[in-house]
Amino acid sequence: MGRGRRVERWLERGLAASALLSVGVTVAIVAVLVFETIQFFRLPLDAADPRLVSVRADLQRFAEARPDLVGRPGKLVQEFFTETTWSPLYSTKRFGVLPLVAGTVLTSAVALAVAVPLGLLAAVYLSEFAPESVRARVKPALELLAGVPTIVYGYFALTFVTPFLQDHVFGPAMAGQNALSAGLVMGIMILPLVSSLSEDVMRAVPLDLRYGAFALGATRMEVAVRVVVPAALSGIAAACVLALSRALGETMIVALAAGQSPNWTANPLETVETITAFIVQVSLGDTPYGSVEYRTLFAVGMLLFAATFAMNVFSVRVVRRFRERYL
Amino acid sequence: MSAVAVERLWRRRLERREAAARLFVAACQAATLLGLVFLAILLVDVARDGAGYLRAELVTNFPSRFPQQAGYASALVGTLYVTGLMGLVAFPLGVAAAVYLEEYAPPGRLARLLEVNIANLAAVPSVLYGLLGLGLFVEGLRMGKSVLAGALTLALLVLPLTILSSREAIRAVPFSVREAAYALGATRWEVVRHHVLPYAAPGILTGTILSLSRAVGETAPLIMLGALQYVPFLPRGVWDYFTVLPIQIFNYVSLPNPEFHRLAAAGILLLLAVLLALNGTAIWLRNRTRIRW
Repeated sequence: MGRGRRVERWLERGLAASALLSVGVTVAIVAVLVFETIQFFRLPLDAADPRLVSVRADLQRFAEARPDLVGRPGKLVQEFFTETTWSPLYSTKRFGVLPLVAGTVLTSAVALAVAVPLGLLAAVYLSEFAPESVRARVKPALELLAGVPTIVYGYFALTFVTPFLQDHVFGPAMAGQNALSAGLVMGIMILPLVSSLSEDVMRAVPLDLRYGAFALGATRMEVAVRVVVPAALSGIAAACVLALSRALGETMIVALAAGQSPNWTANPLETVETITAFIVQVSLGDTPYGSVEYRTLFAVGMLLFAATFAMNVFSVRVVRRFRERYL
Repeated sequence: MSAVAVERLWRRRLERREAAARLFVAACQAATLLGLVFLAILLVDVARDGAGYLRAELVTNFPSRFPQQAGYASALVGTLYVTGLMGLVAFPLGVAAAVYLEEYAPPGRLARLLEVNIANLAAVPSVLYGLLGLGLFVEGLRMGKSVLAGALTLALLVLPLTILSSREAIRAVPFSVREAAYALGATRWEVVRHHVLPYAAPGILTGTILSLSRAVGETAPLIMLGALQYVPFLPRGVWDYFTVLPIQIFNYVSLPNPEFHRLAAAGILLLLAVLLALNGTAIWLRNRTRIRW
């Protein structure tokens, strides 16, 4: 009995360790990103250290291109967050991250403009109007959209959607790689995220509310739009925020279809570069450990992590509040 | 205003409201249909582009500068190798964590912290797992750009999904099963080992296969781990360089020659076939072994 109990206790510890590993993964992600981001902002200090510069060609190039930054990390921080030229891979070495942020926001905005209205209408249809037999078939079929590998969407956006829009809508004004095609296709990809989550919360709205509205003579549309949607609003908001977070972090579609030139623009017909596409672009080349390029990867990665993390936390909060009220 | 006039007014408004409602229902139907139509167009387009390259050389030949001779042999084997190794890591860890959370963890702050943490991890963009793998496995632990580093990175990526689906399967086992075993004097581990896990096994396996298929389609994190090299050989050990299907497809799409785009489309068909096989297995397993309580 004594031995059996000891074995049991060790087993329990092993299981607990596996569960705690997930916390370890979070800690590791944050630690790697924070550590390398600090290394990025320390670049001006490293470039001021003659012993390092003498053995490191990339630091030499950095110091030659940007003598104004050497020894002044504060200035790099300021440039990173406020300037609108991003060229760490070129000889000019400008570090204003705003063009990458603009590209990311632009493609995500297009995606949301597609996914939110279509996803909500689809959710209303599936939850309020569709017969059960249709719903049982259509819902998994829609969710297939989220299961298609993103590289497939990237291929489709680049080789089908862009040529199609160039030939039939925009003509030569549309670049071969542009924010619009990437955003449109990304919008279809995140559509099931919006529709499935929104439909779940709409179905959780008590039937009594609908009966009450029908008894007052409301039409099916009025019940859906004025009763069910407002009652499910916080859950719908959470779904949209999650969809946005997915769009911000989506990589292959934008790397292929939106392009690889940082562009401080709001015109969706132009080539842009997102944070994720930059990460891919750098990774395609040779990036020795600790080099200038290597450090920029993690600095922009940190930015992406902060944005998506804030959104996920926000949506979890909203959902929790929603649950307390309705379930 | 007379009652008749009021009624006429009301009728006219009612007609307008009902017309609006019909229009709205039609719009909702159209929106739902649009997603499915898009999916159909995508599949037809890829199939049409890639059909010409669907031949044996597609899976027997190595990458090449000449599209006519190029194939996906190293990518296909790399995908199977990396996915298998990843499953070996992610499956036991995921199930163990799920068992702990469902059967052992006392409700309270720790359990809630773990839950919130897993939900957050599942929503971290996959490209950031690539950065984690690069910083931790490739550089930190000096694994280099190897099969092992790729498999471990993907294992961390799918771990939250494996935990979530395993928990659902475990939760579906009715409490009466556990109570009966406890009443006979079983310890907690005996209850888990002999009763909960056997009943939950089909659900756990199905969920795990589905999370594996998520990893099969992942491209971004592996680009960071250097899976993009020209790999004209099959990986033999866990320290070898490797490439996987989505990466090889990305490689061909990035080339300007449109012949390579058709080769990429054929690769996509191959990738979709692998995914279909995995998902088909999962559904077959679920239908065959479903337990009705």
